[in-house]
Amino acid sequence: MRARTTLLIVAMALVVALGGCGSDESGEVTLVFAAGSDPSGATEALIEEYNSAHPGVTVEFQAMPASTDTQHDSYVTYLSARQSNVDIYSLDVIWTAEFATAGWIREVPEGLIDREDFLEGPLVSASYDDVLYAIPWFTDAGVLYYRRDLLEEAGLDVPETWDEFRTACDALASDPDVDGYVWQGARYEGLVCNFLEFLWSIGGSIEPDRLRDETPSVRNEVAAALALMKSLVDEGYSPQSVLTYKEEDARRVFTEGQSIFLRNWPYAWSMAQGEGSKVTDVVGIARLPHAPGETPYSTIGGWNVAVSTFSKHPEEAFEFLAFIAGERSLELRAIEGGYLPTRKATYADPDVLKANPHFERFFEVFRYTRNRPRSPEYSLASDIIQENAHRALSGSMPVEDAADQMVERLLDTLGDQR
Amino acid sequence: MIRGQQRRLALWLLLPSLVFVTVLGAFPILSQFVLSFTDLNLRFPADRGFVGGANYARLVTDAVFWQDLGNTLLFTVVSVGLELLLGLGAALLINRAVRGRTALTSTLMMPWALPTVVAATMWSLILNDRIGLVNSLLSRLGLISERVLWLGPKLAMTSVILADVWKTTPFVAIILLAGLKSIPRHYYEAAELDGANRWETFRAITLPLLKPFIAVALLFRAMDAFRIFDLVWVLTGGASGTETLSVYIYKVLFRYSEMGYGSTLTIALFVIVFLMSLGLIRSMRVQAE
Amino acid sequence: MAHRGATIWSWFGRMLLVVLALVPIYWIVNVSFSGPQALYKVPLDYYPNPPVLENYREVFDVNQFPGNVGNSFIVATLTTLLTLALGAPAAYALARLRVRGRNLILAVFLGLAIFPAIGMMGPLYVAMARLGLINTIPALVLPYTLFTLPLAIWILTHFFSTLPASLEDAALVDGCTPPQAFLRIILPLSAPGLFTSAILIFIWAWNEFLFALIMTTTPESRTVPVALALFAGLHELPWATIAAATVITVVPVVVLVVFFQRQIVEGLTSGVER
Repeated sequence: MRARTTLLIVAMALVVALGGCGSDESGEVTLVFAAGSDPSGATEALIEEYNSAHPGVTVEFQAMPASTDTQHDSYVTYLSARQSNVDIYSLDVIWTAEFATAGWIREVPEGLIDREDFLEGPLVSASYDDVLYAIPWFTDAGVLYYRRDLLEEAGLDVPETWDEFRTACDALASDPDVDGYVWQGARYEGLVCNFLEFLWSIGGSIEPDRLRDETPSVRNEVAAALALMKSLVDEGYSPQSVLTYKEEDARRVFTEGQSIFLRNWPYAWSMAQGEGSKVTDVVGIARLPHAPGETPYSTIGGWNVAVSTFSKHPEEAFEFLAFIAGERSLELRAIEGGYLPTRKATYADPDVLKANPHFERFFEVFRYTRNRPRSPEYSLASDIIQENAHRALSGSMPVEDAADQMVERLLDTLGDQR
Repeated sequence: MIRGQQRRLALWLLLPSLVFVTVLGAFPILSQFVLSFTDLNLRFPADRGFVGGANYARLVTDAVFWQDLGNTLLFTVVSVGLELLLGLGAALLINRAVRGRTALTSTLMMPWALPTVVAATMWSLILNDRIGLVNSLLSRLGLISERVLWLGPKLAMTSVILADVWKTTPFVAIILLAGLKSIPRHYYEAAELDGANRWETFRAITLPLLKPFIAVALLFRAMDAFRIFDLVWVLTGGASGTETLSVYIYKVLFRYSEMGYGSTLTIALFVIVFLMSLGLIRSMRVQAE
Repeated sequence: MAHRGATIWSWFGRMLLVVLALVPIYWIVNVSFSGPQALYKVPLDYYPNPPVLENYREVFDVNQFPGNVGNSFIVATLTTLLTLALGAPAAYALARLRVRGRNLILAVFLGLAIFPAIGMMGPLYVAMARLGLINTIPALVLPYTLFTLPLAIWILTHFFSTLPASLEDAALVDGCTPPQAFLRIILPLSAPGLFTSAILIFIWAWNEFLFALIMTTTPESRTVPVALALFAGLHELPWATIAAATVITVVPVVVLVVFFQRQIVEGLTSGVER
């Protein structure tokens, strides 16, 4: 009796299917665009615009949790099962190599976009082996935020070198509750971004060729970078808790007025000017500190958009791709959602600048950005960096050993890259 | 009922679940077994090949695997131990309550009712060193002068255990409560007539009759604790010695897309937990006779 | 004398229990009724000061959320029913009838419960996709049943075996057929076990995230845990809104639990012998 009733319910439920289909007999094309949810609503508005302007094509927005990991899992599951459920994917900049070598995303047709229109760094992140597999959608890069008021009061210039940086912190160290420098040191992807910035700031790098050909130098650079990070904590410039900080944790400390300097992504600017911030109007943006003579590169973040290899309507999908990464879309997303455009021209657009006056400043900083190592095995490489950097920072492994291990394992993983 | 009739009836009763489990579960599980002997990488499916026991050899020398095994063991033993004690205490308390039993049990169920991811996120907020409730209370009460780094290198595992105990003690309590209720009241009445005190009653009646339920609770909790993932992932990401085997498997499968080695790890985890369960069962001598 | 002392301790114990279980929950409720900036006040306010409703308004603004709650409800309910429908008879057979290889069968179910679900995700996804079941209710109910069946069978097997052996015989003597004996006598008496399993299954299904994420791709078909994850922005975590959404989703579960609780309490009276 019970079993029969249950079976009936299940059968009824089977009828309640909520899936969508690719296209029906009328020739209507449905495309699915999967991307992280957009709280500003700009993306949905753009999609509606596109649908009205293109009768015969309907684009559906499949909102994903914003977490990059969650999206990665889902996309890998769909794509490794060769599913056509999604036509256009938004991809974290660090996945291009992985997805391209797996044959999961299609090459962008020649002529779809003019490369000159785009920022250099993001464009590189959307390519692999000199082939363009995606179009840069929005970008991000690490910047230094500082308390303009405090520096002015103490008559200090914005520090550029690490020494100047330390001096500034020392001079402003009166309040025990206020930390010098907060950044992201938790064991997650953000740590890789921070670590690389420290490494680049002292002239080091872990490019695969250098890793292979100049291993001892790279190893010393890595050790020096780790030592630098650790010294900031050991000498009290950064709180011990920085080891548990992700973006929001560090940002909070800064906007509560409890630190002088902050390393974070551009989004933190709006947070600093927004409701509840104690530091509205007194925040400045600068390039990250660096060793004398070196360039302070910022890690490139952001997302690209690509067409799935298994899409049943690649032509229409690429058309949409060009639109969603086109000038109009980037402008609207910049104005409504504060997403940093990947097209150079958008930074000069008056409406965009009116909504985001700080973009001009960011544009300057963005002249010096670099990508994380682009490799199909990036996930593993990232894990190696995270694990060893965090161990060195927490003191559970001596800096020298951590550097050795990191370089050794990175050599294994990235060594075959060209 | 004659034996033949019994057996036929038993067959009919068991068939639906066995068929269901076989149809749905056999393929995924068997495919994992098979894959554990290959080097399949989901990104390069065409390159896959049979590698025999190479994955298993790799497992034996995989330092991360052994380390995570240790972490997982530590977590399981402490966590489940605490949950059993607290769960038993809670069940006894509720059972003894004359009034408000419903309210008590419902209250107790709340931690369990939360989605794990939400509970973990909530705990990361509560344990936050600056804006967390715990540090705020502790400093208000004058018990600490410096902020405690609950999720930092030293206390990470403690915090994970704390959050897990909070969340899953209700599970144990509920099972034990059901067990307590299955003990006929007249046993207690008889004991009281015999002049036994609370402790003696507990030892002679409650505990032995609860044994099967403790066994079930212990078994399922141990199995679940050994495979814990969500909580650790959200609270610490596996940092500072909290990376458990499931976290490692997850990374291998979804970050590196290594289906072959990932399956090997999955099988290894399965075997370990299975042996552990068998051991538990044998030592508790579960009577289902 | 000893009795009164025990009562004070039990009372204290009960209070402690309530506090420990509730404080974090209270905290979420507090956050849900507070403004988004309240968390950063130093020193922290321990109650909403002032209380606001905007978080709840925001949750309901997200158009699909009520629908998602409905989805979760349906999936969890169906999972519970299916699991019990499959598991109760099986447990009965294992507990009360002489089955050859009983321990082997129990071991099989145990093995199933142990097998890490992560490993099964890929193959199960492929299977559901091939059957065209993605975004449908069976895509979740079927795997969920697979995962909760072992626990249900183990709990129920133990429960059934605690019932006196003579029960069926007495019923048969009274003229019942074996199925009738099962339905009219055994089942009601094992109500506590059934409802206990039901609660655990329901809550497990309600909270499951990973499979729900993979098997549902449209906003309308999402379940609550996935919907909650969608509230988070790229870097930001809107605590207040998430807290409000969490409270909303916990309420139905709590209501259900309270409802089931009465059944458990009433379920067993003294004198099972009767």
